[in-house]
Formats: sequence, structure tokens, C-alpha cells
Amino acid sequence: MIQKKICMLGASAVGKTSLVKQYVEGIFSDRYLTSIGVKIDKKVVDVGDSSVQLMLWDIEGVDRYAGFNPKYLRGSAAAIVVVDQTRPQSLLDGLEICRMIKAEKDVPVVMVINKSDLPKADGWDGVAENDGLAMIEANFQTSAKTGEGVENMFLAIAELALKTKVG
Amino acid sequence: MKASFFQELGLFDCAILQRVENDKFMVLYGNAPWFITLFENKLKGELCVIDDSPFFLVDFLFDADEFWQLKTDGRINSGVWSEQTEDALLRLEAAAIFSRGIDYLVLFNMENEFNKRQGMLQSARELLISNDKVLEQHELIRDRVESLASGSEQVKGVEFPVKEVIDHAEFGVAILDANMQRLEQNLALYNLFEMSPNDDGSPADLLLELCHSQFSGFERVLETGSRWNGEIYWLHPPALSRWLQLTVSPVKDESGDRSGWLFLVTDITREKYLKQSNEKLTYFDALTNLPNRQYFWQYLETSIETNQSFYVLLLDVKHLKRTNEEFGFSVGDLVLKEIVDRIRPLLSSNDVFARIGGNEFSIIVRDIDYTKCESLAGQMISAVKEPYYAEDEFKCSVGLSIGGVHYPKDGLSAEELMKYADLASFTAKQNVKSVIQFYSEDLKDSSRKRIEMESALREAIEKKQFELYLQPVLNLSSENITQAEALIRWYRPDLGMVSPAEFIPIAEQTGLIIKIGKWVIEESIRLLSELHRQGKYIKLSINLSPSQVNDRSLLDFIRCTLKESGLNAKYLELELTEGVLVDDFDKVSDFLQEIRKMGVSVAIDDFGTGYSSLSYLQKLPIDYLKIDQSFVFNLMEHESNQAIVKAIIAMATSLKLEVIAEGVEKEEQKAFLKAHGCHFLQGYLFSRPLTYDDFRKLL
Ligand SMILES: Nc1nc2c(ncn2[C@@H]2O[C@H](COP(=O)(O)OP(=O)(O)O)[C@@H](O)[C@H]2O)c(=O)[nH]1
Ligand SMILES: [Mg+2]
Repeated sequence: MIQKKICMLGASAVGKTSLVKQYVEGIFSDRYLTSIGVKIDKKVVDVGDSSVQLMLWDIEGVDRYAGFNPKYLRGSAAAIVVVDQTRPQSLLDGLEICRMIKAEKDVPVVMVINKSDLPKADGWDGVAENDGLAMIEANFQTSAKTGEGVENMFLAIAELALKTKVG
Repeated sequence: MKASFFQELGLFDCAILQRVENDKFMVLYGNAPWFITLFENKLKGELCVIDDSPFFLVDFLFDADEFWQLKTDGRINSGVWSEQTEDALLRLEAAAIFSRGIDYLVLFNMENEFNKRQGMLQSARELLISNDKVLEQHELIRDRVESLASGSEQVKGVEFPVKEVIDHAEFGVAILDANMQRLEQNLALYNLFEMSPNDDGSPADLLLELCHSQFSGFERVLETGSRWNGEIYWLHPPALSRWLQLTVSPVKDESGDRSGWLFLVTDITREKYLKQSNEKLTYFDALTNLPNRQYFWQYLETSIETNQSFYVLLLDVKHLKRTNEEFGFSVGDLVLKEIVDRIRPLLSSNDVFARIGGNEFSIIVRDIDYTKCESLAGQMISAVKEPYYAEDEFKCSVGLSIGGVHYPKDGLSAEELMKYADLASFTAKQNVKSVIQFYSEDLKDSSRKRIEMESALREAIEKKQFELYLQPVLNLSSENITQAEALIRWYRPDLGMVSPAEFIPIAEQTGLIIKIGKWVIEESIRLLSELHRQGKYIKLSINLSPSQVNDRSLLDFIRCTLKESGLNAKYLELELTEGVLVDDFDKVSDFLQEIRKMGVSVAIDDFGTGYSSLSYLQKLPIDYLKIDQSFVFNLMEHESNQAIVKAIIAMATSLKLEVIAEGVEKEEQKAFLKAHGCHFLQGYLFSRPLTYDDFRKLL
């Protein structure tokens, strides 16, 4: 079967781990347990007539304690940058991460705006008027908590990944 | 395998494999239960193949392989990962080791380290996030009050709805007028200081007192009307104390005059406590053993507190990415380590040397004046420029851009210093050579200008302030105009014409070039279609910038725009500079193949100034070379230019490419070019770039 490596990146606590958990196991927990290093989960998706095995790389949040590590991008077919709509800062961090990804590797990047079950932060729209958004192939709204948009988002990633030569 | 060897390597809860070939490994040591489940009961002496799982390990073997091929004693680590087996969640790390001619793969059980690190980072990250939230809330209120205030001449009592926001804010708010007289203070502020509105005292007065006594720069902030963000400590005997996060910000009316002050206060005692218990979290960078970014910031803050002058240097290693791409990350890592070894001897024991990013270092240099600091930077640059050898096989070189700031001359807070150092280093980076750039007011001005230009460009895109000029190209064999180059012009309503040399680099840096470039394509195709409708079958060439070539959507865009217009693709030509070709051969080659498939032709612009070799040109689907105008400009005066031009034409002919000479201004130049077989000319001799209407008339 075709395997595609997908990197999940973003600031801490935006919901990367929760999105993978919701998608792969259908579970959500309110408790925040910070991720260390990398964890890979797999899931098979059907895209049209073919099946793809997604290798989801849940990577430790990029912040002042853990830098962006370009090595992890090697062989990836797409990158998902997750941001948290209750924290405008996470969008700024997310854009910076997109920039770093693009500088490193020509890979499609999608932005996922997570926690859509919670109210958007007041300052969000101000930050979201950002030209950096032009770098991004697509963006999605999800809630890892209710599961809304999660399945669709990963399906779209699988389609995008199939179009990418590497991975 | 002796036990002492394991100890030497610091291996305890680990498994050791020796590489036999490619992905085949022999188990040398490994009897821990986790290893047995992970490798399905492989025993000592047995072989196992790692080609499918654990997937993380398979992935790491790419790096490992590169590293083993160097045949240099040492090790590289994979970083920690979690592996779910049937009955356990393992925390592992792998190392590729080369020792005494043998490739080892060692797996470590990192359970304990993992838990320790997670424990520390858990609270540290919760803290970061709550800190973000506090500052963001301050920012929001500040914005609202500011926008309200700029609508009236003075802050006279605060009105709905800001008043409501303030009353219900979870943090303390005080608004003072220009004479520091209280206008507002909310309930939360009373609560912070354990007061009540019915008591005598005023929390705003208390706050001012604390500011005066604890914050030495307070007077300066008030005089200059600047903003300040920081922490103050309130002690309320006998037993109560609080840490407060304070934002002080001037409120200005619409004419820009200061009409008052806004104070925002949040209790951060809990975060402060968490932070103190985290202080032991002194991290070092694993690769170089230097202090990391976080440690550096703390150190910088401490240095500021001692109030002695120092320089901060921000070092950015140039071309590291290229090294990584060309030779692999393990070589990049060796280069970084060696850089540290070369720089360290130049520093004194008082200085702090940290690695603050992938290719960034930072140094605090004390007891030094400007001249000495400049010469130190020069020494660092020369040391780093020397070539690097990885086991004789690879030779690579990198450069260094340095930004420098001085405390207290350039800035008083860590944030300010780092921001300015960053600006200086950014400026240094624009230089192709390795240089040091010190921060100055001028630099700030030019950065401000750049920002202004950026926002003007945004507006220009929106309001369509661009126009395409067409510069005719003369076909020497028919003496006819068969094609033209599209050149962008920007007319700024307030300033007039802005030269592309001025705004294109900024558009490049900010990514705006993508939008601008698409406009150019659309507009060119539109103009072409119009000309063709009038029976004027002209070909038009468009300049592409490097980032456009990297833009994945560009090909589709060209395809669609062409299709919609119904224009024959052979009338469109794209111009790329040589630099783009050298950047990433495979990518450019793919890109150009696609362009060729569409039927669009390709010219190499500014030819002769870059580094493209014959072999490059041979392999790429190219149709034209454009000789750079610098050779044509004093063609008749310099024999060397004549030689170059002749060589380019000869080379092009052998590759079956056609040649366009740019910048032709004189008849003799034209005669020379014609005599030597050049096919096309472009230049003032013949015509300058024209507006569409003038161009049409010329035809
Ligand atoms: N309400 C809500 N909370 C979420 C959502 N996604 C994640 N969280 C919470 O946000 C916190 C961080 O999530 P986590 O997945 O660990 O973030 P990571 O650091 O990006 O992996 C946890 O407390 C989650 O319960 C969501 O969609 N809605
Ligand atoms: Mg996580």
C-alpha cells in the first residue's frame, strides 16, 4: 500500500495530539499532557479507488523549549500546521513555522484552525489578516473535541499527499 | 564486546546492534523486555532487518546511513520518540555510532528521562500559555482604549462600551490623565491590592508609588511617553505578597498628543512561583553543548540587571542549509560543532556563547569597546570561512552574518536588544559576503522605510497601481519588432514612479511577489491578446523571480490564464536569472519541463553574471540567452567584454539557443553584435520601455 508521511506541527497545546487521537482512536481528553519528541500513528484512508496509509508524525510543540527540527520533514508528503483559535499568538507562531517549512522544503502545507467548539479569541481576526497566509495551500476548521471537521481535514490531506511525489 | 565498552558509551538500559549491511543488523546485546517485544524475540547473535518498523527508526536510518558513510568516530542521536507496542508505550531514542571501524545502532530506553522532561515542561508550557493570554488581554484593552481616546480631545471619564469592558475585566485597570490624576480604576484593581472602593486609599496611587520605587526607568517612560511592560512586586505585611505583571501605555488623542495613561495589572504570583521551580531547567543544546536559547535569555536579563555595558552579537551561519542538502544533516552537524570549536578560543571566559537556533548563535561580550568588538567579529568571520573537511571526502564552506547591539546604548531591555540585534543581523544577511552590521538609528529608519514600503505595496496590489511597460526587441535578421519584454512600473499616487529595483527586493522578501507576479502574467496575456486581435502577432517575455519558481500554484495559474485567453502559448516567454538555475537544479528542471510542455519558451536573463555552467544549460529546456547589459554597456571600450560576448554567442550557437543582447545604446555596439551572429537586440538605441499605447503605435 502507498504510505505517506505527514508532519503535524504547531505551537504547544494547540491540539496536535488531540487531533490525531480523535482521528485514529475516536477519543478526546480535556486533560493537557505535553508531548515530548515524536509519536507516529497510522491510519488507512480510501481516496477514490486507492488506499493510502497515513503516517501521522505528532511532533513536540515548537516553542522556546523545543525548536523547529527540519530533519523531521524529510520524506514527508505534506505538513499540517495546527493553530488554536483561542490563542492569536498560536497563529503567529504557526505562520512562522510555515515560513520555516517553506524555507526548508517544497512540501504542501495546510493550516488547521482547531478548537472551533470554543469561542474565537477577540484578537484573532486582527492577527488573521496576514499575508503570510498566502503560503498555505488550504486551511481547515476543526474541533478535536467534537470531531467536527477532523475526518474531512485528514481526507483532504490524504488527497493532497497523493499528489505529492515524495513520501 | 566488553562490559567496559558499554560503560564507556554510557549505555545501560539499551540494546546494541551492529550493522552487517544496509538495513540488516546483528544483535550484540539486548535482553531487556522492551527490546524483546520490539524486535520479536531476536536473541544475541541473530540478524534482524529494519526496513518497515519501527517506522521512526527506519526514518532515522537515512541520517544514520549518511553518518556511517563518513567513517568518522562519533555519534548522532535520533531524538526521543514514543513507540506503541502491543502492551506498552515505549519511550526510546536511537544513536548511530561509529567506532573503531564498526557501525553500531544503539537503542536506549528513555522512560525515566522522558518522564522527567515531561514533568518539567508540563508546567513550563502551561506557564508560557497563560503568560501569552495575559499579555494578549492587556493588548486588547489597550487597543480599545486607544481607539476610543483618539476620537476625542481628551480622556474624560470613560464611556460605554469600553467602560463596561474595563469594569468586567479580570485584571486591574487604571486610567490617569496627562497630569497623572486618576480618571478610572476598576474593581479588579482594588481587589489586587486587597482594598475596597469604600475604603480611603486608592489602588492607582499605590500602583504609582510602586512604579516609582521599583522601576528605575519609570521617569523616562513618563517623559518620553513610551510604553513599558514588566513585573513589579507588592509586599503587604505581615504575610501577603504578590507579583504583578504591568503594562503602562500612553493614550494619545487624534493629533498624536498624549492625553493620558493606561495601566493594566495582572496577578502573576502563581506563574512566578512555577517559573522559579522551573529555573533549574537550564537546558543545553545537545549537539554543541552550548547553552540554548532559553538559558541565553535568562543570562541576558541577568546581565542587564548588573548594569554594566556589553555587546550582544547575533551570528547567523550562511549556507548551512545548502551544506545540509548537499552532504546531509550529519555533515551539517559536524560543521556546526566545528564552528563552535573555532569561535570559542576567540572569546574570553567572561563571555557567554549560546546556540539559539538551528543556524544561529548568540554571544554576550563584555569589557570591550566598539573597535575591539568589530575586530573580534572580523576574526570570527575569518575563522568560520575556512573550509570544513569531513573525513577528507567532503569539503564545504559556510559564511557568517553578524548583527551587533550595545547595552545600554542601543536598548535597555532584553527584548529590545534582541529585536535590534535581529534587525542588524537581518541587514548583514542581505550582503552576499560575511559581514558584521552594528545596530544604529539609521538601520531602524531604513527598516521603518521598508515596512512602509511593504504596506504601500500591499495597497498597490489592491488598488492596481501597477502598469506594464513594453520594451521592443529588434530581430536583427528582419530588422522588425517581433517581440517585447514586459517591465513592471509602479506609480505611487503620493510619490510618483518607484523603480522596480527598489520595490521588487521587498516584494521578494515579503512574499508579495507571488501576487504581483500573477498580476504581471495576467496583464501580459491580456495585452498580448489585444495586440493579436489587431493582427499584431508579437511575442512577450515576462520576468520570473526565484520565489515564483518555487510557488507550486504558478504552473496551473499560467496554464489556466492562457487557456482562458485562448492565446497561443508560443507567444509567451518566461525569463529566469541564472541564480535561479543554480539554486535547485532538480526543481528548476521539473519546472522548465512543464513550461516547455505548455509551449511557452524560456530565456535566461542577465546571462554571464551568474555561475551557470555549460552542463546546466545543456540539460535544461531553454530557448534564449539574454546577454547582460553590463557587457554590452562598454562593449567597444573593453576587449574583455567583447571576448565574453563572442564566447556567449558561440556557446549559444553550439547549444542551438538564440541570443538577445540587452542594453544596446550605440550603433557600433549593434554592428559588433550583428557581425558576431547575435540574433536580437534590446536597448535605448532602438527604443526605451513604452506604455502599451505607444508600443502599439510603434508597430
Ligand atoms: N475545547 C477544545 N479543546 C481542545 C481541542 N483540541 C485540543 N484541546 C485541548 O487543548 C489542550 C492541548 O491539546 P494537545 O492535543 O495536547 O495539544 P498539542 O500540544 O498541540 O499536542 C488539551 O487540554 C486538549 O484537551 C478542541 O478542539 N477543543
Ligand atoms: Mg502534543
